[in-house]
Amino acid sequence: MFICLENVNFTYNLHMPFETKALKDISLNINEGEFIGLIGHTGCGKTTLIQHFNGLLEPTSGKVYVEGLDINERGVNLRLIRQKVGLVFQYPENQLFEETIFQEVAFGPKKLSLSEDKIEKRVREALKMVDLDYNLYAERSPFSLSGGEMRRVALASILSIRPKMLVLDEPTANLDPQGRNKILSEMKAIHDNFGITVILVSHNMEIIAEIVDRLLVMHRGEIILDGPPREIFEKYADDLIKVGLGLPQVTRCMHELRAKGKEIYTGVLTVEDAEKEILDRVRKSNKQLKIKKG
Amino acid sequence: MIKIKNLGYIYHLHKKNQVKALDNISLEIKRGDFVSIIGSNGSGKSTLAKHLNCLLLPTSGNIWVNGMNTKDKDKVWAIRQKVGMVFQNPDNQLVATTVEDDIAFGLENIGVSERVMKERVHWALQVVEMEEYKNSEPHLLSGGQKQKVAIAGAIAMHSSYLVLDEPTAMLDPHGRREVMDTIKKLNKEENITIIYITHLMEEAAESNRVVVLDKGKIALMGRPEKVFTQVETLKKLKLDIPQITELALRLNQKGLDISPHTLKVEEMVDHLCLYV
Amino acid sequence: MKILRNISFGQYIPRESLIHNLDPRIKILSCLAIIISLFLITEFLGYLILGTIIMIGIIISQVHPKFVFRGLRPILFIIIFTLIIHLFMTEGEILYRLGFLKITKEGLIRGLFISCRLFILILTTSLLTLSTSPISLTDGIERLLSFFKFIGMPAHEIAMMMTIALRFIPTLLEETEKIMKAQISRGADFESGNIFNRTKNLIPILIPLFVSAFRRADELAIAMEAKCYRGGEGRTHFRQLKIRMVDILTFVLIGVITVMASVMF
Repeated sequence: MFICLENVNFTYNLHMPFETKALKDISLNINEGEFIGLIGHTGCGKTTLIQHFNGLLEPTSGKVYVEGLDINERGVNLRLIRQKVGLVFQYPENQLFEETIFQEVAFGPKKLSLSEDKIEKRVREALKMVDLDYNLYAERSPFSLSGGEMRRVALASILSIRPKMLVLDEPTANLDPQGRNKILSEMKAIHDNFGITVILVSHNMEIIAEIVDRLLVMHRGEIILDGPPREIFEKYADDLIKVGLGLPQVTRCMHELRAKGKEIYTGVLTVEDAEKEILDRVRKSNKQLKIKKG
Repeated sequence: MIKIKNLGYIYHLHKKNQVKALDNISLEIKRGDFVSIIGSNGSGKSTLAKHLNCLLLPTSGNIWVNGMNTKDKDKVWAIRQKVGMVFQNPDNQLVATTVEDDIAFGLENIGVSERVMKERVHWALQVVEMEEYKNSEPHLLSGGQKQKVAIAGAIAMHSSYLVLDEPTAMLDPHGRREVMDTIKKLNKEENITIIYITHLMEEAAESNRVVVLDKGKIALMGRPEKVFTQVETLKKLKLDIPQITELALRLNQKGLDISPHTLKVEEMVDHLCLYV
Repeated sequence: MKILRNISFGQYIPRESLIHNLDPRIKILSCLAIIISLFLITEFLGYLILGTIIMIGIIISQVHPKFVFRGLRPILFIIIFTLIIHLFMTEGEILYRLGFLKITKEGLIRGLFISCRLFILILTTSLLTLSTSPISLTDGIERLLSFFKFIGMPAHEIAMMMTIALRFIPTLLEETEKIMKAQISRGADFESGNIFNRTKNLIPILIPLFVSAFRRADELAIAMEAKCYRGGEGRTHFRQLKIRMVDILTFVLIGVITVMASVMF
């Protein structure tokens, strides 16, 4: 087990007039190598939750274990934890500050007091992971890049500390479809090729559901659903709608057909899924006649 | 009416490095219309938006708002009052420290009397359904609420056109819905002309007319159901197609009698009911 | 990081009290009168009178004293520091000797006196900011400054800058916290090292913060222009200020007390 949360509660402004409970009794296990989507509205506590993974926030009560170690105990070196759990905040391009992309990506490794050679090796490796050509980009200023590229540099600057787990808060926010697909496919590749545990945090169901293996749904500080996306879409669509998260268009379409008494599988994630399911059903039903050319 | 004729805009990155942001654009937007402008990053859609209320002036060609040319220096303020703007980042467009004062900001600028101002602020708050937040501080509102305040600020000035430059790009689905509902209400009930810039096809699908921009040129234009079925072209322009339209298209190719012009889930369900 | 969340100095607490409803101009002028007399008074008795006025003000304002005294917390260090400096650095009748340090009677009195002055000063300004919304505060300042327009005082511009600053302080604080956390996650360390290193460590926070502040400023300027902003000329005001009887009475009362206290003590 890589990360384990036990009955974690967190309250902002404890004992103050504006006290707000952000996390309510959260227990959660995350295994090494998982590819997880954490989904919920703005203000549901997902950003608060992920800050517990690397000790940026300390639970008001409850325990957080990373590789079996209680990270909020006295004497724990949180810097070591932060090397293992790489946290990428929303709009990470806003944290760039160095003169060149090389220095930007080398920031983390330098703090680890690695040799020059090793630092360079890591920068090369990290830039490759986000598909930026070292020779073309290393000496450019990060501020000369497009929004999507800046975001990938920011990602590389976390990857260069070689985390075992990568947590990304709204990695695709405010990107156009092309930039969005690029980031998502890179995350998938990082997970598949390097065995890094990845958690994608988002409020956008359509983007995440397709690629993750496990979905965590948060609402008002609690994890209300936890399971494979297909299963959640199939069985708990009502709950998703009730908390206002909505379903991808194709999934909604299947559910509405089901509501009209049609027998159809509703756990579809993509257009391909839906197409296959509908064609199957059409073939099975007796209305083949209506298929135009057969 | 807004009339754009042969609009071109060139900006200079460096002395010799010119970029043609807009290239020979002609477009007419009639009163009461709901037009969406889509395109990938760098297609020129924001540049076009800024031309509509004199924030940018054409390098070539002309724009007329209710017959007033945007190049006419005496008309700048009249045009800006007619054409309200809402921008992408909800945090960076609210000026005052309470909702009410922010909505009044534009009215103060055009010198409206206190009495009229009170009425208009009240009305605008009502239209966007934010009355209970009138004394709230903007930074405590949700993204969707902030955008509604920005919209209220624009309509309080009695603008007849509202240009929204990716107003939902930074919002969650709930905020998106709030903003979209508000805009549709303005269009229907207050007869405000909407010019909606986005890269989300699902949002563009709610408008009456879609203009697709690519590299500063109009690539496609027409009713949403006509534009979105040009899947190949849209994909080439690096744009998404609504899931439901793609599904309709695929099923249509497989021989099902489903119109490839399907944009809404409900239509799709009705079609499919005949089959399964 | 906690520091950023706990700033209460200058935070408005809405209540429906007499003090809250006073005209902001009157409140600002009264505070000015008290502050000026603070520097003119040379005896403790004078401070007792001013202190009493402020205490009465706090009670009338219905703001919980907790909030008022929280504003003192960041200043406490300065008050204690001033007290110590005066205790040891003033020549005079020696009360107590501690190695080469000596405490003098004059030092004790002087130190306590200056501490009282700071204490009342902070209480006064806290009461002003706690009981006056930022908006009416800037309105008040704008109207007061416009008396000096004839010597070229840019009253509107100053007020506009204040409004925008007030509007963006919470946003920028939030942003600072976020950038700090992001950099910590990337391996930055803000807690250890000597002063030189610590200062150097601020660069990863300051540069992104500046970049974002400039971008915000740019976008805000465009948004303001789009809403027909063109400076203070011909601008009307959404909020009208009216001087009522109670305002005049308060001002006269405070005026008389402060003048008398300054003259007598």
